[in-house]
Amino acid sequence: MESEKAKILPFYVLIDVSASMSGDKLDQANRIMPQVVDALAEAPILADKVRFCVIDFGSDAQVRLPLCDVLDQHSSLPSLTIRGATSYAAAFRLLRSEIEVNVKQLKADGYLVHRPAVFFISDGEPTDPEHEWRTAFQDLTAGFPTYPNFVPCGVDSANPRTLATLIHPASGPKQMQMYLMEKGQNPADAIAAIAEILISSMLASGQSMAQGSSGMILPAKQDLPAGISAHSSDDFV
Amino acid sequence: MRSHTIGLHEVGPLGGQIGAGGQAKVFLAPAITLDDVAGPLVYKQYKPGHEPPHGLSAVVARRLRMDVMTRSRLDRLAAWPVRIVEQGGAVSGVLMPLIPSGFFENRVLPSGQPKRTLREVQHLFIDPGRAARLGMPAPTDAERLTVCRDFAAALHLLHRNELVIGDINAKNAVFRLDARPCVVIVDCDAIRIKGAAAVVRQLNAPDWEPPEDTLSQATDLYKFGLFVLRCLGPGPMASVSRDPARADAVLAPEGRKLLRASLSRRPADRPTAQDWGRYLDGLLIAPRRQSTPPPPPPAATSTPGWKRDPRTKRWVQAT
Ligand SMILES: Nc1ncnc2c1ncn2[C@@H]1O[C@H](COP(=O)(O)OP(=O)(O)O)[C@@H](O)[C@H]1O
Repeated sequence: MESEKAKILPFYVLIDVSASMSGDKLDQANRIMPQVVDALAEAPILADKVRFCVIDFGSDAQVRLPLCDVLDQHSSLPSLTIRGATSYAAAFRLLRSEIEVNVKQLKADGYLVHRPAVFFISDGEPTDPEHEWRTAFQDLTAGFPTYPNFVPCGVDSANPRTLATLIHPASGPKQMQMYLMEKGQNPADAIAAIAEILISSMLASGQSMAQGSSGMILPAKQDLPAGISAHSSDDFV
Repeated sequence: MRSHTIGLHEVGPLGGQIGAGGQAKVFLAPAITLDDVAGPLVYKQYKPGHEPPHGLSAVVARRLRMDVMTRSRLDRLAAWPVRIVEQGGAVSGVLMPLIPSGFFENRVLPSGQPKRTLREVQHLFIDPGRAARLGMPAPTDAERLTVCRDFAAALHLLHRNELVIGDINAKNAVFRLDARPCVVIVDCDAIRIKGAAAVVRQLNAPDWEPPEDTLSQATDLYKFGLFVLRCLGPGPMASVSRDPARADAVLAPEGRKLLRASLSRRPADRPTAQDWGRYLDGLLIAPRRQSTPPPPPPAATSTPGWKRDPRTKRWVQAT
């Protein structure tokens, strides 16, 4: 009678921990994980649907919370600390290898796996050479069967034009979006607002996950928190 | 004859906002009393564009036509819309009875933040140890059977009155353990009168889809079967499970048969809510008739209310 296999949505959050993130911004970034846990504690059957992973990136990238059920007793939340420069390339490469391993593992455990969802939060420009992070992003999104739905989020001095090129898919029925801090906002507040978007996306995606859906739902524009705007890739050409 | 529609001005000044959902905000409405509603009322204000189309009036009118006994039973089992509220000729919301405070949990979230939340039945589906860790109750098997029993009673009352719930799911019913009835059906906007169109198009929540396309009392009975199996067989993946064997440990052979029949692809096979109610009553009155004994209570080391008798070394109820 257990006819269908259970379906899991792997949800990744990539957080910039370069030097410029120190202070209030990092404090807000550190609040994301406890907020995600609280949100799932209020909708605990979503733990049957969503697995959560946190990767931070500075001069290098590290898995801070391996993909897991965050309501599990044994998952403990790391705290993020500052680590130098802003290597987008390191973040993309690590994400790709994590997705590859995680999806294989979930399938081996008998789950159907939805296309992974990624929120990428940065406050600045990449410090590695452009061809390097572009190649890494290409490897993550093209010719990679389990490429993720990629949602870039920019605060402070992140470059909208750079981030817009990271929206993936950039077009078509399942096109993703980019979230940007509006000019003049406090960047730490903007990170808190992005956390809100990320959580409502996680809840909506988990709740609606059904056969055929992309497994990734973003909030409607009118439901966005103040100080944040949503863009599609053709807003910045 | 009582009118099923009132103007917003008749509701009077609103109290505090007590909730918000995808389609509405909910406020206390302390200034209005209705002679056909026993307790306090709340005003559910639809967000613009989320007002249910006509059909709502039939659901409200259906309640007003009930005899006093039936109506008061309905009000104890469902947060039913009791009046449509209009402003400037358009529906702005509905009045509903306030869900009693026993159905709310004052809990502490994992981050340490206190939160008062409705005790949605989804909390019955997760591992009981996890529920306790997350600040929610972890009911015993007997309590779970009682929840199923009262859910069956609510379903039976609605079905006997020609109503179809439609969207039974993990959030549309709430529970308490310290008083009966221990289940209230909430979010009744999707309820439909048999033979009429639904107020809002009736939907299936993900993981609650019945085998057939059209929602009816028979699909309510299928979904109730899913509820029983998920409530009695909690744990990882229970919220998406359709495997009746999950609940075998708690159900006697007759119950196992009922559950399998509830999940039958053939609507005619499914037992009624009344069949379930009778069976569960029997289990609750004579628990010894269960073929599988209920599991022993969890180690009582930290359970208040019990202490070890120093002479016999047995656990005894503290007085
Ligand atoms: N009758 C009621 N009594 C008390 N609280 C209520 C009542 N109805 C709704 N609420 C509160 O309001 C919240 C939103 O209501 P809900 O009906 O779920 O809205 P929506 O239809 O938009 O999802 C609920 O989660 C609950 O906390």
